[in-house]
Parts: sequence; C-alpha cells; structure tokens
Amino acid sequence: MHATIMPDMDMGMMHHSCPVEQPSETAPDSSGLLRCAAVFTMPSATSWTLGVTLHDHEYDSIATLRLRIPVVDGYGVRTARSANGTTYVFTLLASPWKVGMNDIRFAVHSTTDGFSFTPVPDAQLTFEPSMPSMGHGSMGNVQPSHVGNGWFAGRVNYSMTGDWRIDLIVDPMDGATYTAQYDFLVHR
Amino acid sequence: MLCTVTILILTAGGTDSLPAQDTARVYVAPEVVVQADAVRQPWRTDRPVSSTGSVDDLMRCNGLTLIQRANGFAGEVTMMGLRGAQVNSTIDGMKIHAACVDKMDPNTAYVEIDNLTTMNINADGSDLRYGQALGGSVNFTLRRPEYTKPVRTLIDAAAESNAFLRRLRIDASGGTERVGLRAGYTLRTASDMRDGNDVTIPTSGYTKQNLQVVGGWKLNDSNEFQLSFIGDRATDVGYPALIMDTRKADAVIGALTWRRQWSSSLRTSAKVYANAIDHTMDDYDRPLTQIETRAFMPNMYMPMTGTTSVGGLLVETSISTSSTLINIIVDATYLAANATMEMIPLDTTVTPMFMTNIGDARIATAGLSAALDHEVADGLSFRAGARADVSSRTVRDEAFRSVISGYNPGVPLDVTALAGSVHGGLYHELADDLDVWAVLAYNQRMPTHLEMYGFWLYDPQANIIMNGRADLANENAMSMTVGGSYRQDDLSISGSLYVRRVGNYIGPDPATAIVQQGQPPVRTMGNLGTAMLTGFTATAFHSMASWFGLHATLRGVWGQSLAFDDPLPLLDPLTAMLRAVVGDATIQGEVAFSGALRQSRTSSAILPEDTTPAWMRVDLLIAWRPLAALRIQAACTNVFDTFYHEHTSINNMPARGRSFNAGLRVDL
Repeated sequence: MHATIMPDMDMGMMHHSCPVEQPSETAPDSSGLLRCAAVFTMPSATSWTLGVTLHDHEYDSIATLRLRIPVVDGYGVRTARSANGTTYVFTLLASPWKVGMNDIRFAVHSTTDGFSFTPVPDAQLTFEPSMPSMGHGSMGNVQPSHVGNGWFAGRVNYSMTGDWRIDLIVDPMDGATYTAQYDFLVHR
Repeated sequence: MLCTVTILILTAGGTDSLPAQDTARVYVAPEVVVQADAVRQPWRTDRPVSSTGSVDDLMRCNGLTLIQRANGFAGEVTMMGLRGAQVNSTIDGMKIHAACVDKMDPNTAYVEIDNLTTMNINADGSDLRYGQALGGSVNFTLRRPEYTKPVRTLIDAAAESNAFLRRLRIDASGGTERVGLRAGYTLRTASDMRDGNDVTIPTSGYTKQNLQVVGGWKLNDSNEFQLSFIGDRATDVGYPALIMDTRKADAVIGALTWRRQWSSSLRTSAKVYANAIDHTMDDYDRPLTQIETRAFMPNMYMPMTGTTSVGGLLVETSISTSSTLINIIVDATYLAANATMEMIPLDTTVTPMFMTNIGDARIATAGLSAALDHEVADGLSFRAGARADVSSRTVRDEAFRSVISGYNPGVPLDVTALAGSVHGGLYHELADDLDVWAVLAYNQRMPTHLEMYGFWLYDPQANIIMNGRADLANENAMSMTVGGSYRQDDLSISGSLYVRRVGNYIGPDPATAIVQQGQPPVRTMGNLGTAMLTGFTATAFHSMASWFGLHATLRGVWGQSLAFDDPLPLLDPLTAMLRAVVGDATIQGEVAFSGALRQSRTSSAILPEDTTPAWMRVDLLIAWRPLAALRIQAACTNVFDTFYHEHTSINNMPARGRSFNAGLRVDL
C-alpha cells in the first residue's frame, strides 16, 4: 500500500497546492501512521483541503478522501516569484527555539504551475539572525547546507530571549537572489 | 610607599596577644609604618582627612590609585599600573568576588574603615600569601575582639556639607581573659554630590550600612577560636559614570578561625570562611532621555542581577628561628557566580528580553604558598617565596554554555588551569639608617571568571562590549624592584623603582572587534602580547619640630603595550602629595596638597580613553582631643573647590567639590 496527498486551496477564482513530502513508507509505522508533510503557504480556516489517495497494491484498489483542514497563521513560509514566472517557497521549519545553539532547517521549493512543487537542492542559502529591537545579531551560526529533498540544515545561536528575526538570502541558481524574513519569539 | 607596607589604621582599640594573620609578613616587611610619636603617627594621620570617609579614602590616603565610578565609594584598586585581577585584593586573606559584572562592587565596597586594623600593600610581586596576581596585593586585616578589656563603647558621628554625607559608627567591645567580643555598626548616607563647578551630579547618592560582629574564645594561652561576621547592605547607590545604579547590594561574610601557638617558634591558623554577595542594579532612576539616547542598548531599561558565593579554607603555618622565618599557606576556594540581565523596551510592543551574562560559573582553586626569610649575615637578608595554584573552571548553565560556545567555536569551556609564581629578594642594611633592597619576581595569574565566561559586558568608558574567552592563557609578569630607605629620628626617605614586563596581557582584543551600525563594537577577551610597566614611588617624612612634620609622596608610572604600540589604559600620571602636620597629642592640624600632572599618554587601541588635565587640590583639617575619650574634628576638603577628575575616573566623573565636615568621636 502506498498513499499520496494533494493539498488544495480554493481561492474562488483559482486553486493552488503547496510543497509536499509524500509518505515514503508502504506500511504504517508503529503508531499506525503514514508520515508525510505539507508546507501550507497561507493561512485559512476553510479554504484548504487535503486530498488523500490510498492504493492497496495487493487488491489493486484505490480509495480517495478529501479532508478540510484549517491552517493557522505562522511565520515560517515566504514566497517569491522570479522574472520567468517561477514561484519559490522558502520555508523555515518552526522550532521550539531556545536560548543557545539551535538546529535550523530551511526548505526551498519551486513551482511554475502552483500544483507541482519540486525541491531546489542546488540553491545556496545564507541567513543572518538579528534582534531588530537591539540592533545586534549573534555569532557562531552555521550556514545551512543541503541535506536532501530540498531541505537545508544549519545552526543558529540565540544569545537571549526576545524578538528575533532571521534574514534569509537564497540563490536558486536562476540568475537572481531572493530574500525572506522571518520574525518570531525565543522564550526563556 | 608601595613596596611592602603595612599601615596601622586605628590606634584606638587594643592589640591581641596572639598574632594576626598578617603578623608573619609584617615581620618581614621592609617598612612597617607603625610609629609612636604624635606627629609622625598621630592618632589620626593614617585616617583620611574626611571624617566621613570610606575605605576608598583610606586607600587613596596611603598612595593607592582608585578607578572611580561613584561618589567616594567602591573604588577599584590600582597600583603601579596594575589593576583588576592584576592586583590581589583580600579581606583578612579571604577572597570576596564582586557580583556586579560592571565592577560596581570591588570587595572593598563591603567593608568599612572601622572594620579594619591594618592595610597591607605590596607591589613588588613578593606577596603570594592569598593568591597570585601580577605583583600587586592589598590585604585588609579585620578588627578582632579584645580580651581582658572592660566593655567599651565608641560613638563616631560626622556630617559633611557636600552631598550632606552623614556617617554614624557605633562600636562596642570588651572581654574577659578568655572571651572577647566586638560589634560595630556603620551607617553612611549621602545625597547627590556637587562638583567643583557647583554642579550637582545626579544619581550620585547612596546609603550603606555595615555590621561587624566578632567573637573570640581563648581556650588557653595557645589556642584561640574566632568567629566573625560582616553584613553589609548598600542601597540606591548612584554610579554617575556608568549607565546603571545599584538598587541593592547585600554581602554576608563569615569566618571561623582557629589560631594555635604550638611553641615560641611554631604557630598556625586555620580559617574556614564563606561569603555571598547579591547585587542588583538598574537604570530606573535615569532620565528618559538618557535611556533613549545612550550608546549601549538604548530605548530599554535593563535591570541586572549578579551573585557570587565563595567558600574557602586558609591554613597558615609560620616557623621561626633566630635567623629564619618560614611561612607556608594552603589556600583553597570555591566560587559560584551568576549574572543576568533583563531588557524591558520602552516600546511596549517589543517583547521584554532576558540574557545571561555569567551562567553559573564554578571555579575551584587550591594553592600552596611558601615563603622564606633568612638572615644570611648581619644586616643581610634573603627572602624568597613561591606559590602554585591549580584551578578547575566551568560554567554549568547549559543554555549559557550553548550561547558562548557559538561565540568561541571549538573553545573548551571546562578548563583546568595551573599557575606558578616565584620571587626572591635581597635586603641589605648598609648602615644603621640606610637600607637597600632588590626583588626579582615572576608572577602569573589565571584569568578571572569574567574574562573567561563573561558575556555581553559593557565598558562605558571605552564604549565596547566584551565577551569572555575560556582558553585565555595566564597573564604573567617578570619584575624587578629596587629600593632604598634612609631613616633617622626626624627624617625618613624611601623610594623604589620597578620595571615589569607583562606577558600575555589580558584585555579585550581590538583585533576581534565586530562593529555593527548603531552599536558599540563587540570584542572578545584575548591575550594581547607583551606590555611594559615601569615607574617609581618615593616618600619622605621630615619631623622638623616636635609639633611639625612634613610628609611627601611622589609616584609615576609608564606603561606601554608592545603588541599594539599603545599606552596601557588607566595609568595615572605623575602624582604627588604633600602634607604638613602640626600639633601634639591634644590638638592637631593638617594641610594636604595633592595633585597630578596632565595625562596625555592615553590608550587608543586597548581601551580607548581621553586625556586628563592636570589638577591640584588642598585639604585642611583640625582635630582636637580635649579628653582622651573625646575627639572633635573639622575639615574642609577641596578647599578651593577645584573642578577636576583623576585620570582613572571612569567617563571623567568629576571629583567632589569643596566640602566642610565635622565629626565627633566619643570613647566611653
């Protein structure tokens, strides 16, 4: 058996999807779950649906269902559009940030039609943490490198609690660079 | 006189039959200023002119330079260009570590002048008893209980016109043959002070209370136990030179000492001690415009808390023969230190922040010191000593470890450090009244917990932010001091010259500076190569008549970082003092001139500073002792209301303007 998911946002005049990571397993894990991921690119209480297709290879049967899911606002997703019409999605994986060194993960996906999103493994990413209210950043950060499937991993050092900002610069090797900004709170 | 000097601070109060911890070294000191005649050692000469004075005044009066951040309070000792941890400052041999990361509270802030009997100063690198530094040491000996004395009460009250500084001291002591008790309470309080331009300096007032209780029990003629306690509370202490003020600083200092005289030539003392300091400061009393416009972290309040706790063991043994004195000391301490800062933005839409500046630093140190004083021949003594310390250092706060690991990638935070110092000297009596000496010393000091683990510490004078580095090498110094003294009944002249080569000079490394727009540069502490310090001190006393004496001191220091071709910071220029003391045992007067030349050799790289104009001030005092039990004193300090600041006054905070003070001391 395998499963696929297909998020869809109904914006009235148009539909679009978002980056996904399909379940890689063919059987549920010990929790009874097939694990997958989607990067919802905008919040909505009612407009997102998640199409799920289950294919039982043994009986060659297919089941589909559509789930309406609310998506709350977050800080981790930014999009940019290139001159040639490609849309990029830059995702900062939200973490329970803590003071000190933290793992930080970004994802870069691209799409030209709004439905098929592909990882951009060759992108070059650099980020800079800062505290806008303090006017300083931090040291000891490790710039991200590609770890697979469009994900980039690095390390970030938050020297204190408070409002932090990550400025991300992405060079997806299309001749342009893009910036994204993420604001969030680091707790004690 | 900054070679090795022990200064008897108070003559009121008895001495004890068993030796103080300092006694062994007082014996070997080349100069011990304990004199009996009224002019040279009158009943108030070694007290500051100001009857409202603090330990700061005492240190200044006796030739030390202080880095000043507040109104006559909490000055940081410097001597011969050595400062901070380059000078080992102890109270009765006890280590008391400042809790404030902004240096608001050197350990001398937690004792009162009335708690002390002697101040022992050494600057030639030969005092290794209570720790390793770069050659400078100051040890204050606390007052001890009095045996076989009837109960005696002393009340000392004084007030001063400038800042309406008031001081009250109540002291009670007494004892039987076997039990002695002493209790003393001091209250000092001041409003904002006025400088020589008649300008009131905001946030320069303070209130300080100090309680000392000490009890002694002589088990027999050769065994004594002593339990001592000091509680000190400072509140609302303004630091005009800094960006914050102390809201409250509490110190609790306790010690239990056992002294044993095994024989006429062998004695020991063992002291177990502990102290804890809790220091909070904030900028709530500062005007809003200052908060909004300051260079460091504007637009927010930033209350800070610092705590240190120290536990220690100090075991001293001295063995003497007719020609030899050996002193062996085991010295162990354990320090725990924390410091944190809140940041509360004026803009209420911004989330308040919290930062750790010292994340539970733990420093365990054990040291062994040995000193030998041997009379090689008649009039020729050889003195030598050595000390070795081993220290385990770490920080325990995991989040803090994580933060500072990011700032110094790959630098281990758990460090075991070793340090060793050694000295040797020859002391030769050329004639009955002429002595010369030469001391060669190699000293090391381990970096402090602030230098290793401090994070985001602000230096308001240099306007830099400093971060520690855990792998700093020991700072070391090779020094040579030569001196001589000529003493006759009515004249004494002494002087010393020194040269000190400092290796691995520790300071905020200019090469590491990270400059961000609108923020002070951030530097990491580093070993800044070699520096040279050289200078001299000279002092003379001439008793011109039984009722008239002159006392003069002159000192100068020159320092240069060879690595940065930069003058060392916070070096006072050529400084002089001339005092004329008149009177007898009943009435005494004094006029004191003190001043310094312009300091234009200033650091521009290590800790940027500006030049300081020359200055001179005059102080006057008259003291009357109509009865043995009554002293009445009046003084005028800074008579000509001179507006000036010392070069070591942070951010050029001016000295106090003219002040009249009057005091009364009753000994019941």
